[in-house]
Amino acid sequence: MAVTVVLVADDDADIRDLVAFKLEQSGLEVIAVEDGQAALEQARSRLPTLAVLDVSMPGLSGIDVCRMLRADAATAGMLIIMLTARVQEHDVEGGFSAGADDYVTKPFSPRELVSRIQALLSRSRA
Amino acid sequence: MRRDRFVGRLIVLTLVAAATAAVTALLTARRITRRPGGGSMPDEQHLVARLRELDTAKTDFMSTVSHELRTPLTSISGYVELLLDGEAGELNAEQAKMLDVIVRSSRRLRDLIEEMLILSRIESGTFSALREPVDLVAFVERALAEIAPAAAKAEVGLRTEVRGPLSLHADPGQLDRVLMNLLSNAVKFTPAAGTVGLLARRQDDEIVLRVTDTGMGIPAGEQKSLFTRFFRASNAVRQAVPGAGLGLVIVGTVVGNHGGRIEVESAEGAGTTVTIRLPAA
Repeated sequence: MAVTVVLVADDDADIRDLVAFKLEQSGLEVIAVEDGQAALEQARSRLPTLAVLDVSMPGLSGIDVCRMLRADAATAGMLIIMLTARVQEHDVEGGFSAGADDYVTKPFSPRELVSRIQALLSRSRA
Repeated sequence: MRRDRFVGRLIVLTLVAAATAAVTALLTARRITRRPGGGSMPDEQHLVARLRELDTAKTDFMSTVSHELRTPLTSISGYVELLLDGEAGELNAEQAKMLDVIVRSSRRLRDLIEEMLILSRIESGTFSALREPVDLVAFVERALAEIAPAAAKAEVGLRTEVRGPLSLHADPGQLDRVLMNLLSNAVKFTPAAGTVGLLARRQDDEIVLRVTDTGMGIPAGEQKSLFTRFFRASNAVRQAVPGAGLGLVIVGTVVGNHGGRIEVESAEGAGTTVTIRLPAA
């Protein structure tokens, strides 16, 4: 079976490394980037199965990237999980209205993030 | 433990500093409005606008602070989880025990940040409750299972009397918070060999939820201040029981938003009973 590729975008290097490490340990291939522009470029050129996007990044936010991926036929079907430290309702609504499949709030458990990713992957395969 | 409390106090101090700045600005604004010869109407409007501005600034500040705290906390708790899961190699018992202290402390910080965020939402008027049909029995069982390890560790017995079904319309997340807050308070303030009791039953058209403990109690003169933010009972402070004085403010608001009532009976040294009555479905 082909390895599943996951794009991880977070401007905080520690959190990016944390997520990348955990996902790699779980047998996923990871592309890690530090801002929204790079996330968009990697998403378009490498077409990962799933993207984990931090909401607050300098330049393009995770929500901007999500909206742009959904608007482009080539990436519209990509699975998207948003990561955020903001838990006000309107932030969560903003993420879902931009087309995210799931939402994980910081602080999160890496174990839980992996199980959410696996749940999304198995739902999309079914 | 001491450092954890220090960080908690630091956060509270930051908030107090922000509040002080707001009050100073308010007083200055007031002095300006009292200037002799000035027309009162435009000044009042100016004051109202300024107060709104300050209020928004305070809410934004609380929200930003809790956001900025969440990010480093994600790294702390996330990397500790990797270490505890043995993803960076086997741990010896001593190392695992030390990491457990970090887990516990970061959980306390996370709870405090969450309470601050809820408080800022209460104050900005954006703390609204969902209304879903729920059975309180499931919530009580979950909360009891969650508090059991802490009670066992503190050598506090748990006694429960739950008579279901207990149907009501409520916000599930907020109901969970109320239950966990009351139970963890009861365990926290009860010395070893004491007992925490939980009673939940329907009485006419109300759901009664009662948490009793045999703990340190609340001095009679201080009971009226229990639902004031940052208030802490003098005996709790004296005995260095950790807390920020936000939990009951949130509990009181949630109960009020659900159309319920809350009563506290307590005597210093003889325990506390908190009774909540919510309209049944």
